[in-house]
Amino acid sequence: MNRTARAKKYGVLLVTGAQTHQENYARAFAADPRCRLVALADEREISDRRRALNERLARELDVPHIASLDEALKREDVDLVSVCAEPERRGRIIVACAKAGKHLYLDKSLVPRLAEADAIVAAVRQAGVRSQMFSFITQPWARRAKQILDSGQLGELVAVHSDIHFAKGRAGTAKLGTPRREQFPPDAETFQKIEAKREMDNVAVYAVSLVRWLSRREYRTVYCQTANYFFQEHQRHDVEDFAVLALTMEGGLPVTVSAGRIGWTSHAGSGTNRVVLVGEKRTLVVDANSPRGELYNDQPPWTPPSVNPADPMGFWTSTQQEVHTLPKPTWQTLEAAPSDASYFLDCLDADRESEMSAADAAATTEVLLAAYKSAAGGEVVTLPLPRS
Amino acid sequence: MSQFDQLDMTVRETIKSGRIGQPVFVRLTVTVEPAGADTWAVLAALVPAVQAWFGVPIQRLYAVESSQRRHSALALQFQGGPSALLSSASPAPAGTGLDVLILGNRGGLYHDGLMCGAPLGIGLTAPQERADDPIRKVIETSLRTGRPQALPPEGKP
Repeated sequence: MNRTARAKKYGVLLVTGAQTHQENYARAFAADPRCRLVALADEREISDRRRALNERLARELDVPHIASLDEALKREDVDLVSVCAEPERRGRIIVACAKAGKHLYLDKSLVPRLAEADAIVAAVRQAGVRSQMFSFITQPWARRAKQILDSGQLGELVAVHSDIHFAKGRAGTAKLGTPRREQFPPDAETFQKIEAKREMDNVAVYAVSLVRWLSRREYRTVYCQTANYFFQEHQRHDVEDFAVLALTMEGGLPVTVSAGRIGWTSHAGSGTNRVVLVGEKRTLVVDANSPRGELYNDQPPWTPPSVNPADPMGFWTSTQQEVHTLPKPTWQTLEAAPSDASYFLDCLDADRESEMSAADAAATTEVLLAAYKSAAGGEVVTLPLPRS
Repeated sequence: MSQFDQLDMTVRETIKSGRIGQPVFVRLTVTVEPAGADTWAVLAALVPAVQAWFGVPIQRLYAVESSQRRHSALALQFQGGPSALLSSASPAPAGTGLDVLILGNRGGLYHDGLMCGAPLGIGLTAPQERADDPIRKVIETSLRTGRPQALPPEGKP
């Protein structure tokens, strides 16, 4: 499937449309000259709301809307599929796309059920297709951390800490005073509600996958506490807005993670995104917000946008444009981040595996599910999880 | 006044002012000298300060460490739900430093001082005192069993 050998553009099929990360992924593929968006499709049995949102993004991107995913997958001009279906539908869709022989670009986290993660890994392997889950590993700060770690400057890794926080949503509305009671297994339907998403799954996926990629080690134990600290919306839907994890990896390497959604006004930028690598020779802090420019002037201070009932937590680009969300003006990013989608196309061009393949994504899913199990039981969970 | 004492005072004043709302999460990361220092002693010395920031007792404690105890980490859950991740490392020759991130339910307080090299002023207790420190005993139990340890309602072992 080497593009140079093929001498034609990659045909990209989009699965699921507006008010998903497809809004960003589709435009990233469209912006790459190696690609052509072929169509937007989905399963036949979907809600009227989802169908309308799919049709909306298809119109915006000026691509055909195909009501049947099965029909769309038969098209020979589709080389790869960008899958952003809701988590509870994702597993079967990804497997179907793999079986159709299409390369896979996958929203994060992979799936909410371990059996689905296993099925995806098996289907991808059997079909011999390439795959990639969206992650932070293509961000400049993550590449910098990897480069320094691999150079040996830090010596042997002694510990890793990562904090990934998203400064979005109107915080201060959760009722405090009662520890969250987690459930295991988490109901797959609760991962992506309109009002609130499971933020441990949604945000810790970045830290867990990043540390695994950096260290080249597998996780062995997981201890986790989930919490409701900031948003009444999360409490209402009984999903967490924050989590802390203490893990160990192969060789006993300790790892700690904090992850969650913390509110628009709780950070000067978009939130803490960093990893601390403690080596036997040096300790290194690598931060998405550093180095940065800082701008101060006499303009009125930044204020959070109005709440969009279609997306009160500020997930999607379109819903934030509807309420005229402005970027925070003080911290200025100095490093332009390449598109994660372009990195995947590089892998296809070179006929090599992505560093965040479906197998890597599945390993991350297993850690996240173990974290829910730990939070529910209050105990340390050992990996791998048992298969039924 | 040591670096940590100054920070502690600032944190207490900020919390008291209500500017970040009710504190719900603390991430505290320290590096200490000399290489091979007792990283658990450092964390045990920091626990009372963090507990004072929340103003409620510790309910649950889980401890993990690297080989040869060059690095120690604590996951704490406090009564009513707040949580903290505390970690301490003594890698040579990194010097001393202290990072603190405190999230309130309506704001955040950030101190990026891990690489600053200023003396922390956190006292390392003598071996005899360490053995008698009740928090150290719970930490040792967590390490020995590999499990989180519940603390009694008043938060002291």
